[in-house]
Amino acid sequence: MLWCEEVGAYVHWLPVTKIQFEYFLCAAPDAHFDAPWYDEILRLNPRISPCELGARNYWRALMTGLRPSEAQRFASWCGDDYRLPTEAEWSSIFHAARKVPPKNEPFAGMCEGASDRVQEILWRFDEVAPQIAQQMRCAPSLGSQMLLQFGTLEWVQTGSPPSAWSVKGEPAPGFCGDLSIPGLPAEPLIADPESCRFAAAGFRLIRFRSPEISGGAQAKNGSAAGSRGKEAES
Amino acid sequence: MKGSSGCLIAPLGFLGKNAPGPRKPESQAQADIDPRGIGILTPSVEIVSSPGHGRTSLLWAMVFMLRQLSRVWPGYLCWPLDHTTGSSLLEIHEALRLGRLPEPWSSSDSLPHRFALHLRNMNPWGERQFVIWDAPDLAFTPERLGTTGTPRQVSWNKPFFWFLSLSDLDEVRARFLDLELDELIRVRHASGEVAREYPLRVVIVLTKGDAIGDLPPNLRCFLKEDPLARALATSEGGPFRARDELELEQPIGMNADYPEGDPISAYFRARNQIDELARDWMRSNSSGRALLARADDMNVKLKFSLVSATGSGFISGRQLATAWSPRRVLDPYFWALELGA
Repeated sequence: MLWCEEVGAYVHWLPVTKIQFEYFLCAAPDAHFDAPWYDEILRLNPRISPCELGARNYWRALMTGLRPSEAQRFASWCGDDYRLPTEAEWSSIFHAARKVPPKNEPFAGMCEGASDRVQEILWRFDEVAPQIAQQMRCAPSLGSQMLLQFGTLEWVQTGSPPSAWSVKGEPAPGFCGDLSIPGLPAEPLIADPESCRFAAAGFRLIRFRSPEISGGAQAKNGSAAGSRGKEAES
Repeated sequence: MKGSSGCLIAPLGFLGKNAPGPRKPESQAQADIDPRGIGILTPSVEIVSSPGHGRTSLLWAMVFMLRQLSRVWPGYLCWPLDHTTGSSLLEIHEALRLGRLPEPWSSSDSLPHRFALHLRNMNPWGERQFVIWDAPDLAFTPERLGTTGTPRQVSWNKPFFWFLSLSDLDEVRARFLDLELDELIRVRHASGEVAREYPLRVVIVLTKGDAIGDLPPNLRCFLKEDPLARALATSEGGPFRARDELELEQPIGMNADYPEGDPISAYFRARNQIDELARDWMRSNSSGRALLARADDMNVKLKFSLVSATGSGFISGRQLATAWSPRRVLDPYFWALELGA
Protein backbone atom coordinates (compact mmCIF):
# COMPACT_ATOMS: atom_id res chain seq x y z
CA MET A 1 0.00 0.00 0.00
CA LEU A 2 1.03 3.54 -0.56
CA TRP A 3 0.55 6.45 1.79
CA CYS A 4 -1.67 9.16 0.37
CA GLU A 5 -1.45 12.40 2.28
CA GLU A 6 -4.60 13.79 0.65
CA VAL A 7 -6.82 11.22 2.31
CA GLY A 8 -4.57 10.47 5.26
CA ALA A 9 -4.60 6.76 4.55
CA TYR A 10 -2.74 3.96 2.86
CA VAL A 11 -4.06 3.03 -0.56
CA HIS A 12 -3.67 -0.16 -2.53
CA TRP A 13 -1.00 0.24 -5.16
CA LEU A 14 -3.22 -1.60 -7.68
CA PRO A 15 -6.81 -2.76 -7.77
CA VAL A 16 -7.05 -6.06 -5.92
CA THR A 17 -5.70 -8.89 -8.05
CA LYS A 18 -7.09 -12.36 -8.44
CA ILE A 19 -4.04 -13.78 -6.73
CA GLN A 20 -4.69 -11.63 -3.66
CA PHE A 21 -8.30 -12.64 -3.64
CA GLU A 22 -7.41 -16.31 -3.94
CA TYR A 23 -5.62 -16.09 -0.58
CA PHE A 24 -8.93 -14.96 0.84
CA LEU A 25 -10.80 -17.76 -0.95
CA CYS A 26 -8.43 -20.34 0.48
CA ALA A 27 -8.52 -18.96 3.98
CA ALA A 28 -11.98 -17.60 4.49
CA PRO A 29 -14.43 -20.12 5.86
CA ASP A 30 -17.33 -18.68 3.93
CA ALA A 31 -19.64 -20.93 1.96
CA HIS A 32 -20.70 -18.06 -0.25
CA PHE A 33 -17.33 -17.99 -1.96
CA ASP A 34 -17.33 -21.54 -3.21
CA ALA A 35 -15.93 -23.00 -6.42
CA PRO A 36 -19.05 -22.36 -8.54
CA TRP A 37 -19.00 -18.75 -7.36
CA TYR A 38 -15.42 -18.31 -8.49
CA ASP A 39 -16.14 -20.06 -11.78
CA GLU A 40 -18.87 -17.52 -12.43
CA ILE A 41 -16.46 -14.69 -11.67
CA LEU A 42 -13.83 -16.12 -13.97
CA ARG A 43 -16.30 -16.43 -16.81
CA LEU A 44 -16.76 -12.66 -16.67
CA ASN A 45 -13.05 -11.87 -16.74
CA PRO A 46 -10.90 -14.95 -17.29
CA ARG A 47 -7.78 -15.38 -15.21
CA ILE A 48 -4.23 -15.18 -16.43
CA SER A 49 -1.08 -16.13 -14.59
CA PRO A 50 1.65 -13.55 -13.97
CA CYS A 51 3.85 -14.95 -16.73
CA GLU A 52 1.08 -14.37 -19.28
CA LEU A 53 0.47 -10.79 -18.22
CA GLY A 54 0.98 -8.22 -20.97
CA ALA A 55 -0.18 -4.79 -22.04
CA ARG A 56 -3.18 -6.20 -23.89
CA ASN A 57 -4.57 -8.51 -21.22
CA TYR A 58 -3.40 -7.23 -17.86
CA TRP A 59 -6.95 -6.59 -16.63
CA ARG A 60 -7.45 -10.32 -16.50
CA ALA A 61 -5.12 -10.45 -13.54
CA LEU A 62 -7.39 -8.07 -11.63
CA MET A 63 -10.27 -9.23 -9.49
CA THR A 64 -13.46 -7.97 -11.08
CA GLY A 65 -17.08 -8.95 -11.23
CA LEU A 66 -17.60 -8.74 -7.49
CA ARG A 67 -20.60 -7.13 -5.92
CA PRO A 68 -19.81 -4.36 -3.45
CA SER A 69 -20.87 -6.49 -0.48
CA GLU A 70 -18.44 -9.21 -1.56
CA ALA A 71 -15.63 -6.69 -1.84
CA GLN A 72 -16.52 -5.50 1.65
CA ARG A 73 -16.21 -9.03 2.99
CA PHE A 74 -12.73 -9.20 1.55
CA ALA A 75 -11.95 -5.87 3.21
CA SER A 76 -13.22 -7.13 6.57
CA TRP A 77 -11.08 -10.22 6.26
CA CYS A 78 -8.04 -8.02 5.62
CA GLY A 79 -8.66 -6.26 8.92
CA ASP A 80 -10.98 -3.92 10.75
CA ASP A 81 -9.23 -0.85 9.46
CA TYR A 82 -9.55 -1.75 5.77
CA ARG A 83 -12.42 -0.53 3.67
CA LEU A 84 -13.41 0.57 0.20
CA PRO A 85 -12.87 4.27 -0.47
CA THR A 86 -15.61 6.81 -0.74
CA GLU A 87 -16.05 8.64 -4.01
CA ALA A 88 -14.42 11.74 -2.53
CA GLU A 89 -11.45 9.73 -1.27
CA TRP A 90 -11.00 8.00 -4.60
CA SER A 91 -11.13 11.32 -6.43
CA SER A 92 -8.56 12.84 -4.09
CA ILE A 93 -6.23 9.92 -4.65
CA PHE A 94 -6.73 10.16 -8.40
CA HIS A 95 -6.07 13.90 -8.59
CA ALA A 96 -2.99 13.59 -6.40
CA ALA A 97 -1.54 10.60 -8.23
CA ARG A 98 -1.98 11.92 -11.74
CA LYS A 99 0.19 14.95 -10.90
CA VAL A 100 3.06 12.80 -9.72
CA PRO A 101 5.55 11.24 -12.13
CA PRO A 102 5.75 7.47 -12.13
CA LYS A 103 7.95 5.76 -9.62
CA ASN A 104 11.19 4.53 -11.06
CA GLU A 105 11.74 2.12 -8.23
CA PRO A 106 9.76 -1.08 -8.81
CA PHE A 107 6.91 -1.26 -6.36
CA ALA A 108 7.37 -4.97 -6.02
CA GLY A 109 10.76 -4.29 -4.49
CA MET A 110 9.15 -2.34 -1.67
CA CYS A 111 6.82 -5.12 -0.61
CA GLU A 112 9.12 -7.13 1.53
CA GLY A 113 6.37 -8.99 3.30
CA ALA A 114 4.32 -10.00 0.30
CA SER A 115 4.12 -13.61 -0.80
CA ASP A 116 6.10 -14.87 -3.77
CA ARG A 117 3.00 -15.03 -5.95
CA VAL A 118 2.05 -11.47 -5.16
CA GLN A 119 5.64 -10.32 -5.63
CA GLU A 120 5.66 -11.98 -9.02
CA ILE A 121 2.54 -10.27 -10.24
CA LEU A 122 3.70 -6.92 -8.89
CA TRP A 123 6.95 -7.33 -10.82
CA ARG A 124 5.00 -8.08 -13.96
CA PHE A 125 2.83 -5.02 -13.49
CA ASP A 126 5.94 -2.94 -12.91
CA GLU A 127 7.29 -4.17 -16.23
CA VAL A 128 4.08 -3.69 -18.14
CA ALA A 129 3.11 -0.24 -16.78
CA PRO A 130 5.29 1.74 -19.25
CA GLN A 131 3.90 -0.32 -22.12
CA ILE A 132 0.35 0.44 -21.00
CA ALA A 133 1.09 4.17 -20.96
CA GLN A 134 2.69 3.88 -24.37
CA GLN A 135 -0.22 1.91 -25.75
CA MET A 136 -2.68 4.49 -24.42
CA ARG A 137 -0.39 7.24 -25.72
CA CYS A 138 -0.52 9.12 -22.46
CA ALA A 139 2.20 10.65 -20.37
CA PRO A 140 3.01 8.15 -17.63
CA SER A 141 2.09 9.22 -14.13
CA LEU A 142 1.75 7.62 -10.76
CA GLY A 143 -1.98 7.47 -11.49
CA SER A 144 -1.54 5.36 -14.60
CA GLN A 145 1.09 3.26 -12.84
CA MET A 146 -1.42 2.55 -10.07
CA LEU A 147 -4.05 1.75 -12.71
CA LEU A 148 -6.30 4.52 -11.48
CA GLN A 149 -6.36 5.08 -15.23
CA PHE A 150 -6.60 2.21 -17.70
CA GLY A 151 -7.37 -0.33 -15.01
CA THR A 152 -10.90 -1.24 -14.03
CA LEU A 153 -13.89 0.71 -12.87
CA GLU A 154 -13.67 0.62 -9.09
CA TRP A 155 -16.42 0.41 -6.53
CA VAL A 156 -16.69 3.49 -4.34
CA GLN A 157 -19.13 4.43 -1.63
CA THR A 158 -21.29 7.47 -2.25
CA GLY A 159 -23.51 9.68 -0.14
CA SER A 160 -22.93 11.25 3.19
CA PRO A 161 -22.82 9.15 5.25
CA PRO A 162 -21.93 6.56 2.61
CA SER A 163 -25.10 4.73 1.73
CA ALA A 164 -24.86 3.76 -1.91
CA TRP A 165 -22.40 2.51 -4.47
CA SER A 166 -20.99 3.84 -7.66
CA VAL A 167 -17.88 3.34 -9.74
CA LYS A 168 -14.89 5.54 -10.51
CA GLY A 169 -11.99 5.13 -12.84
CA GLU A 170 -11.12 4.94 -16.46
CA PRO A 171 -10.91 1.32 -17.53
CA ALA A 172 -8.69 0.06 -20.32
CA PRO A 173 -10.81 0.47 -23.48
CA GLY A 174 -9.96 -3.07 -24.53
CA PHE A 175 -11.53 -4.29 -21.30
CA CYS A 176 -14.49 -1.98 -20.97
CA GLY A 177 -15.23 1.07 -23.06
CA ASP A 178 -16.23 3.98 -20.88
CA LEU A 179 -16.24 7.67 -21.62
CA SER A 180 -16.98 9.03 -18.18
CA ILE A 181 -14.38 11.46 -16.91
CA PRO A 182 -12.80 10.30 -13.64
CA GLY A 183 -12.49 13.87 -12.37
CA LEU A 184 -16.23 14.47 -12.57
CA PRO A 185 -18.86 13.18 -10.14
CA ALA A 186 -19.79 9.56 -10.67
CA GLU A 187 -22.90 8.83 -12.68
CA PRO A 188 -25.70 7.43 -10.54
CA LEU A 189 -26.15 3.72 -11.01
CA ILE A 190 -29.44 2.53 -12.40
CA ALA A 191 -28.75 -1.14 -12.06
CA ASP A 192 -28.73 -2.63 -8.58
CA PRO A 193 -25.07 -3.46 -7.88
CA GLU A 194 -26.11 -6.24 -5.51
CA SER A 195 -28.24 -8.06 -8.03
CA CYS A 196 -26.10 -7.58 -11.16
CA ARG A 197 -22.53 -8.58 -11.76
CA PHE A 198 -20.41 -6.20 -13.78
CA ALA A 199 -17.41 -7.74 -15.45
CA ALA A 200 -15.48 -4.47 -15.36
CA ALA A 201 -16.07 -3.64 -11.68
CA GLY A 202 -12.97 -4.07 -9.55
CA PHE A 203 -11.93 -2.42 -6.32
CA ARG A 204 -9.05 -1.35 -4.16
CA LEU A 205 -8.90 -0.82 -0.42
CA ILE A 206 -7.68 1.96 1.79
CA ARG A 207 -6.40 1.65 5.31
CA PHE A 208 -6.39 4.25 8.00
CA ARG A 209 -3.77 2.65 10.24
CA SER A 210 -0.09 2.11 9.68
CA PRO A 211 0.53 -1.33 8.15
CA GLU A 212 3.53 -1.77 10.47
CA ILE A 213 1.23 -1.96 13.46
CA SER A 214 -0.30 -5.25 12.48
CA GLY A 215 1.27 -7.92 10.40
CA GLY A 216 -1.85 -10.07 10.50
CA ALA A 217 -3.39 -8.86 7.30
CA GLN A 218 -0.09 -9.18 5.55
CA ALA A 219 0.17 -12.78 6.51
CA LYS A 220 -3.44 -13.42 5.67
CA ASN A 221 -3.77 -11.95 2.24
CA GLY A 222 -0.12 -12.23 1.33
CA SER A 223 -0.50 -9.02 -0.51
CA ALA A 224 0.53 -5.50 -1.06
CA ALA A 225 -2.31 -4.67 1.27
CA GLY A 226 -0.15 -5.85 4.10
CA SER A 227 3.16 -4.65 2.81
CA ARG A 228 5.33 -2.07 4.39
CA GLY A 229 3.97 1.36 3.74
CA LYS A 230 5.91 3.93 1.77
CA GLU A 231 5.31 7.62 1.68
CA ALA A 232 4.12 8.64 -1.75
CA GLU A 233 5.39 11.88 -3.15
CA SER A 234 1.82 13.03 -3.45
CA MET B 1 -53.89 10.29 -33.96
CA LYS B 2 -52.46 13.21 -35.84
CA GLY B 3 -53.23 16.86 -35.65
CA SER B 4 -53.66 18.99 -38.72
CA SER B 5 -50.04 20.05 -38.55
CA GLY B 6 -48.93 16.50 -38.94
CA CYS B 7 -47.80 16.27 -35.33
CA LEU B 8 -48.52 12.93 -33.87
CA ILE B 9 -50.07 12.83 -30.43
CA ALA B 10 -48.72 9.71 -28.86
CA PRO B 11 -51.39 7.61 -27.17
CA LEU B 12 -50.82 6.25 -23.71
CA GLY B 13 -49.75 2.70 -23.17
CA PHE B 14 -46.65 2.68 -25.32
CA LEU B 15 -44.35 1.76 -22.51
CA GLY B 16 -45.30 -1.85 -22.63
CA LYS B 17 -43.56 -4.89 -21.39
CA ASN B 18 -41.29 -5.37 -24.35
CA ALA B 19 -39.99 -1.86 -24.67
CA PRO B 20 -38.74 -0.85 -27.10
CA GLY B 21 -39.85 -3.61 -29.36
CA PRO B 22 -40.83 -2.17 -32.69
CA ARG B 23 -41.09 -5.56 -34.29
CA LYS B 24 -44.61 -5.88 -35.62
CA PRO B 25 -44.88 -7.34 -39.10
CA GLU B 26 -45.56 -4.69 -41.62
CA SER B 27 -45.49 -5.05 -45.35
CA GLN B 28 -43.08 -2.94 -47.30
CA ALA B 29 -45.81 -1.39 -49.40
CA GLN B 30 -47.73 -0.19 -46.36
CA ALA B 31 -44.64 0.92 -44.48
CA ASP B 32 -43.37 3.23 -47.19
CA ILE B 33 -46.56 5.24 -47.46
CA ASP B 34 -46.36 8.62 -45.81
CA PRO B 35 -49.14 8.57 -43.23
CA ARG B 36 -49.94 12.16 -44.07
CA GLY B 37 -50.88 11.01 -47.53
CA ILE B 38 -48.43 13.22 -49.36
CA GLY B 39 -46.26 10.64 -50.98
CA ILE B 40 -43.87 7.87 -50.28
CA LEU B 41 -41.38 7.91 -47.43
CA THR B 42 -38.19 6.81 -49.07
CA PRO B 43 -35.14 6.31 -46.89
CA SER B 44 -32.96 9.37 -46.61
CA VAL B 45 -29.95 7.19 -45.84
CA GLU B 46 -29.28 3.47 -46.24
CA ILE B 47 -27.31 1.41 -43.76
CA VAL B 48 -24.91 -1.47 -44.13
CA SER B 49 -23.52 -3.16 -41.08
CA SER B 50 -22.15 -6.52 -40.09
CA PRO B 51 -23.99 -8.30 -37.29
CA GLY B 52 -23.03 -7.10 -33.84
CA HIS B 53 -21.57 -3.81 -34.98
CA GLY B 54 -24.10 -1.75 -33.07
CA ARG B 55 -26.69 -0.91 -35.71
CA THR B 56 -29.82 -0.86 -33.55
CA SER B 57 -28.10 0.79 -30.59
CA LEU B 58 -26.78 3.56 -32.77
CA LEU B 59 -30.14 4.13 -34.43
CA TRP B 60 -31.78 4.37 -31.01
CA ALA B 61 -29.17 6.88 -29.92
CA MET B 62 -29.57 8.87 -33.15
CA VAL B 63 -33.33 9.07 -32.85
CA PHE B 64 -33.02 10.03 -29.19
CA MET B 65 -30.52 12.78 -29.91
CA LEU B 66 -32.46 14.12 -32.90
CA ARG B 67 -35.32 14.62 -30.51
CA GLN B 68 -33.13 16.07 -27.74
CA LEU B 69 -31.52 18.49 -30.15
CA SER B 70 -34.46 20.83 -29.72
CA ARG B 71 -33.14 21.60 -26.25
CA VAL B 72 -29.94 23.13 -27.55
CA TRP B 73 -30.79 24.31 -31.06
CA PRO B 74 -33.03 27.38 -31.11
CA GLY B 75 -35.97 26.98 -33.47
CA TYR B 76 -35.25 23.35 -34.30
CA LEU B 77 -38.20 20.98 -34.17
CA CYS B 78 -38.50 17.24 -34.53
CA TRP B 79 -41.63 15.12 -34.68
CA PRO B 80 -42.51 11.60 -35.79
CA LEU B 81 -44.03 10.99 -39.18
CA ASP B 82 -45.89 7.86 -38.25
CA HIS B 83 -47.43 6.13 -35.32
CA THR B 84 -44.72 3.50 -35.11
CA THR B 85 -41.97 6.07 -34.82
CA GLY B 86 -44.03 7.95 -32.23
CA SER B 87 -44.21 4.79 -30.16
CA SER B 88 -40.56 4.10 -30.69
CA LEU B 89 -39.54 7.57 -29.52
CA LEU B 90 -41.18 7.02 -26.17
CA GLU B 91 -39.94 3.50 -25.83
CA ILE B 92 -36.40 4.40 -26.78
CA HIS B 93 -36.35 7.30 -24.34
CA GLU B 94 -37.40 4.94 -21.58
CA ALA B 95 -34.94 2.24 -22.59
CA LEU B 96 -32.07 4.72 -22.62
CA ARG B 97 -33.07 6.17 -19.29
CA LEU B 98 -33.15 2.72 -17.74
CA GLY B 99 -29.91 1.62 -19.37
CA ARG B 100 -31.47 -1.19 -21.38
CA LEU B 101 -29.72 -2.46 -24.49
CA PRO B 102 -31.57 -3.68 -27.57
CA GLU B 103 -32.10 -7.37 -27.97
CA PRO B 104 -29.78 -8.93 -30.51
CA TRP B 105 -31.32 -9.71 -33.86
CA SER B 106 -33.06 -13.06 -33.77
CA SER B 107 -34.50 -14.89 -36.70
CA SER B 108 -37.77 -15.59 -34.94
CA ASP B 109 -38.70 -12.23 -33.39
CA SER B 110 -36.93 -9.53 -35.30
CA LEU B 111 -38.35 -7.66 -38.24
CA PRO B 112 -37.16 -4.58 -40.07
CA HIS B 113 -38.17 -1.39 -38.41
CA ARG B 114 -38.43 2.09 -39.85
CA PHE B 115 -37.82 5.39 -38.08
CA ALA B 116 -39.42 8.38 -39.76
CA LEU B 117 -38.95 11.87 -38.33
CA HIS B 118 -39.62 15.31 -39.66
CA LEU B 119 -36.92 17.84 -38.83
CA ARG B 120 -37.51 21.57 -39.16
CA ASN B 121 -35.31 24.68 -38.91
CA MET B 122 -32.15 22.68 -39.13
CA ASN B 123 -29.86 25.26 -40.59
CA PRO B 124 -28.15 25.19 -43.04
CA TRP B 125 -30.23 22.29 -44.35
CA GLY B 126 -33.61 23.68 -43.38
CA GLU B 127 -36.40 21.14 -43.39
CA ARG B 128 -35.68 17.44 -43.87
CA GLN B 129 -37.13 14.03 -43.31
CA PHE B 130 -35.08 11.48 -41.43
CA VAL B 131 -36.27 8.14 -42.76
CA ILE B 132 -34.11 5.17 -42.02
CA TRP B 133 -34.53 1.41 -41.77
CA ASP B 134 -33.13 -0.79 -39.07
CA ALA B 135 -32.93 -3.91 -41.18
CA PRO B 136 -30.46 -6.47 -42.48
CA ASP B 137 -28.70 -5.49 -45.68
CA LEU B 138 -27.71 -7.28 -48.83
CA ALA B 139 -24.04 -6.49 -48.53
CA PHE B 140 -23.04 -7.57 -45.02
CA THR B 141 -25.99 -9.51 -43.60
CA PRO B 142 -27.59 -11.29 -46.55
CA GLU B 143 -28.10 -14.42 -44.47
CA ARG B 144 -30.60 -12.52 -42.34
CA LEU B 145 -32.74 -11.31 -45.19
CA GLY B 146 -34.64 -14.54 -45.26
CA THR B 147 -35.97 -13.82 -41.79
CA THR B 148 -37.52 -10.48 -42.60
CA GLY B 149 -40.40 -11.34 -44.86
CA THR B 150 -40.47 -9.38 -48.10
CA PRO B 151 -37.04 -7.83 -48.66
CA ARG B 152 -37.37 -4.11 -48.85
CA GLN B 153 -36.22 -2.09 -51.80
CA VAL B 154 -32.85 -0.46 -51.20
CA SER B 155 -32.32 3.07 -52.51
CA TRP B 156 -28.90 2.59 -53.99
CA ASN B 157 -28.51 6.23 -54.94
CA LYS B 158 -28.83 7.46 -51.39
CA PRO B 159 -25.85 8.02 -49.13
CA PHE B 160 -24.88 5.00 -47.06
CA PHE B 161 -23.90 4.59 -43.45
CA TRP B 162 -21.38 1.84 -43.02
CA PHE B 163 -21.45 0.94 -39.35
CA LEU B 164 -18.08 -0.53 -38.53
CA SER B 165 -17.01 -1.62 -35.08
CA LEU B 166 -13.24 -1.96 -35.20
CA SER B 167 -13.17 -3.62 -31.79
CA ASP B 168 -15.43 -6.39 -33.10
CA LEU B 169 -13.35 -7.21 -36.16
CA ASP B 170 -11.15 -10.24 -35.97
CA GLU B 171 -7.51 -10.02 -37.02
CA VAL B 172 -8.18 -11.13 -40.57
CA ARG B 173 -11.21 -9.01 -41.35
CA ALA B 174 -9.52 -5.97 -39.89
CA ARG B 175 -6.84 -6.35 -42.56
CA PHE B 176 -9.30 -6.52 -45.43
CA LEU B 177 -11.53 -3.50 -45.01
CA ASP B 178 -11.10 -2.62 -48.67
CA LEU B 179 -12.69 -5.94 -49.61
CA GLU B 180 -15.74 -5.04 -47.56
CA LEU B 181 -16.05 -1.82 -49.50
CA ASP B 182 -15.68 -3.85 -52.69
CA GLU B 183 -18.53 -6.04 -51.56
CA LEU B 184 -20.77 -3.02 -51.04
CA ILE B 185 -19.87 -1.73 -54.51
CA ARG B 186 -20.48 -5.15 -56.02
CA VAL B 187 -23.90 -5.51 -54.45
CA ARG B 188 -24.82 -2.04 -55.57
CA HIS B 189 -23.88 -2.87 -59.14
CA ALA B 190 -25.65 -6.19 -58.96
CA SER B 191 -28.84 -4.51 -57.79
CA GLY B 192 -29.71 -3.65 -61.33
CA GLU B 193 -30.61 -0.17 -60.28
CA VAL B 194 -28.11 1.30 -62.65
CA ALA B 195 -29.31 4.85 -62.40
CA ARG B 196 -26.32 5.73 -60.29
CA GLU B 197 -26.55 9.39 -60.95
CA TYR B 198 -24.31 9.86 -57.99
CA PRO B 199 -21.09 8.18 -57.04
CA LEU B 200 -21.42 5.93 -54.05
CA ARG B 201 -21.38 8.16 -50.98
CA VAL B 202 -20.46 6.42 -47.75
CA VAL B 203 -20.16 7.67 -44.22
CA ILE B 204 -17.94 5.20 -42.41
CA VAL B 205 -19.26 5.24 -38.89
CA LEU B 206 -16.75 3.85 -36.45
CA THR B 207 -19.11 2.50 -33.82
CA LYS B 208 -18.39 1.59 -30.18
CA GLY B 209 -15.69 4.25 -30.15
CA ASP B 210 -15.40 3.96 -26.37
CA ALA B 211 -14.10 0.40 -26.77
CA ILE B 212 -11.47 0.97 -29.45
CA GLY B 213 -8.28 0.11 -27.64
CA ASP B 214 -5.77 1.94 -29.81
CA LEU B 215 -7.87 4.98 -30.60
CA PRO B 216 -5.67 8.07 -30.69
CA PRO B 217 -6.17 10.19 -27.55
CA ASN B 218 -7.26 13.25 -29.51
CA LEU B 219 -10.09 11.29 -31.11
CA ARG B 220 -11.05 9.82 -27.77
CA CYS B 221 -11.18 13.35 -26.38
CA PHE B 222 -13.78 14.28 -28.97
CA LEU B 223 -15.97 11.48 -27.71
CA LYS B 224 -15.46 12.38 -24.09
CA GLU B 225 -16.12 16.04 -24.62
CA ASP B 226 -19.06 15.95 -26.98
CA PRO B 227 -20.61 19.41 -26.52
CA LEU B 228 -24.16 18.15 -27.05
CA ALA B 229 -23.78 15.36 -24.51
CA ARG B 230 -22.25 17.84 -22.11
CA ALA B 231 -24.99 20.41 -22.63
CA LEU B 232 -27.66 17.84 -21.97
CA ALA B 233 -25.85 16.26 -19.05
CA THR B 234 -25.23 19.55 -17.28
CA SER B 235 -28.82 20.65 -17.62
CA GLU B 236 -30.98 20.28 -14.58
CA GLY B 237 -31.92 16.65 -14.26
CA GLY B 238 -29.72 15.57 -17.15
CA PRO B 239 -30.95 14.38 -20.51
CA PHE B 240 -33.80 12.33 -19.13
CA ARG B 241 -35.72 14.87 -17.11
CA ALA B 242 -39.44 15.12 -17.57
CA ARG B 243 -41.03 17.81 -19.71
CA ASP B 244 -37.91 18.36 -21.79
CA GLU B 245 -39.77 19.36 -24.88
CA LEU B 246 -41.90 21.97 -23.11
CA GLU B 247 -38.98 24.29 -22.55
CA LEU B 248 -38.05 25.24 -26.06
CA GLU B 249 -38.09 28.93 -25.36
CA GLN B 250 -35.12 28.51 -23.05
CA PRO B 251 -32.63 26.29 -24.83
CA ILE B 252 -30.19 24.89 -22.40
CA GLY B 253 -26.49 25.15 -22.81
CA MET B 254 -26.50 28.45 -24.65
CA ASN B 255 -25.12 30.30 -21.66
CA ALA B 256 -23.00 27.52 -20.33
CA ASP B 257 -19.29 27.79 -20.17
CA TYR B 258 -18.31 26.70 -23.66
CA PRO B 259 -14.88 28.03 -24.53
CA GLU B 260 -15.56 27.68 -28.23
CA GLY B 261 -19.03 29.16 -28.35
CA ASP B 262 -22.43 27.53 -28.26
CA PRO B 263 -22.65 23.73 -28.29
CA ILE B 264 -24.04 23.48 -31.82
CA SER B 265 -21.18 25.47 -33.36
CA ALA B 266 -18.67 23.55 -31.29
CA TYR B 267 -20.31 20.31 -32.37
CA PHE B 268 -20.00 21.05 -36.08
CA ARG B 269 -16.40 22.19 -35.78
CA ALA B 270 -15.50 18.98 -34.02
CA ARG B 271 -17.32 16.88 -36.62
CA ASN B 272 -15.02 18.21 -39.35
CA GLN B 273 -11.94 17.66 -37.24
CA ILE B 274 -12.98 14.10 -36.43
CA ASP B 275 -13.34 13.32 -40.12
CA GLU B 276 -9.83 14.56 -40.81
CA LEU B 277 -8.26 12.91 -37.79
CA ALA B 278 -10.01 9.60 -38.40
CA ARG B 279 -8.87 9.70 -42.02
CA ASP B 280 -5.29 10.32 -40.88
CA TRP B 281 -5.58 7.53 -38.36
CA MET B 282 -6.89 5.12 -41.00
CA ARG B 283 -4.07 6.16 -43.27
CA SER B 284 -1.57 5.19 -40.59
CA ASN B 285 -2.15 1.46 -41.12
CA SER B 286 -2.07 -0.69 -44.20
CA SER B 287 -5.68 -1.80 -44.02
CA GLY B 288 -6.94 1.78 -43.74
CA ARG B 289 -4.67 2.89 -46.55
CA ALA B 290 -6.00 0.13 -48.78
CA LEU B 291 -9.56 1.17 -47.97
CA LEU B 292 -8.91 4.82 -48.78
CA ALA B 293 -7.07 3.94 -51.96
CA ARG B 294 -9.86 1.64 -53.11
CA ALA B 295 -12.49 4.28 -52.39
CA ASP B 296 -10.49 6.79 -54.38
CA ASP B 297 -10.06 4.33 -57.21
CA MET B 298 -13.79 3.60 -57.37
CA ASN B 299 -14.77 7.25 -57.04
CA VAL B 300 -16.47 6.62 -53.70
CA LYS B 301 -16.98 9.69 -51.56
CA LEU B 302 -16.02 8.86 -48.00
CA LYS B 303 -16.62 10.66 -44.74
CA PHE B 304 -15.61 9.38 -41.35
CA SER B 305 -17.32 9.70 -38.03
CA LEU B 306 -16.63 8.21 -34.66
CA VAL B 307 -19.49 7.49 -32.30
CA SER B 308 -20.42 5.80 -29.08
CA ALA B 309 -24.13 5.04 -28.80
CA THR B 310 -24.14 4.19 -25.12
CA GLY B 311 -21.06 6.06 -23.86
CA SER B 312 -20.10 3.05 -21.81
CA GLY B 313 -19.68 -0.68 -22.00
CA PHE B 314 -20.14 -1.10 -18.26
CA ILE B 315 -22.84 -3.72 -18.54
CA SER B 316 -24.30 -6.74 -16.90
CA GLY B 317 -26.02 -8.89 -19.49
CA ARG B 318 -28.11 -6.44 -21.52
CA GLN B 319 -28.25 -3.87 -18.75
CA LEU B 320 -26.02 -0.82 -18.60
CA ALA B 321 -25.02 0.28 -15.13
CA THR B 322 -25.90 3.88 -15.92
CA ALA B 323 -28.23 5.65 -18.33
CA TRP B 324 -27.06 5.91 -21.91
CA SER B 325 -24.82 8.81 -22.75
CA PRO B 326 -24.65 8.93 -26.56
CA ARG B 327 -21.58 10.63 -28.02
CA ARG B 328 -21.24 12.19 -31.47
CA VAL B 329 -24.10 10.07 -32.77
CA LEU B 330 -25.51 12.80 -35.02
CA ASP B 331 -22.30 13.27 -36.98
CA PRO B 332 -23.16 10.54 -39.49
CA TYR B 333 -26.51 12.10 -40.27
CA PHE B 334 -25.08 15.58 -40.67
CA TRP B 335 -22.46 14.18 -43.02
CA ALA B 336 -25.18 12.39 -44.95
CA LEU B 337 -27.01 15.69 -45.35
CA GLU B 338 -23.88 17.23 -46.78
CA LEU B 339 -23.58 14.28 -49.13
CA GLY B 340 -27.06 14.95 -50.43
CA ALA B 341 -29.39 12.95 -48.21
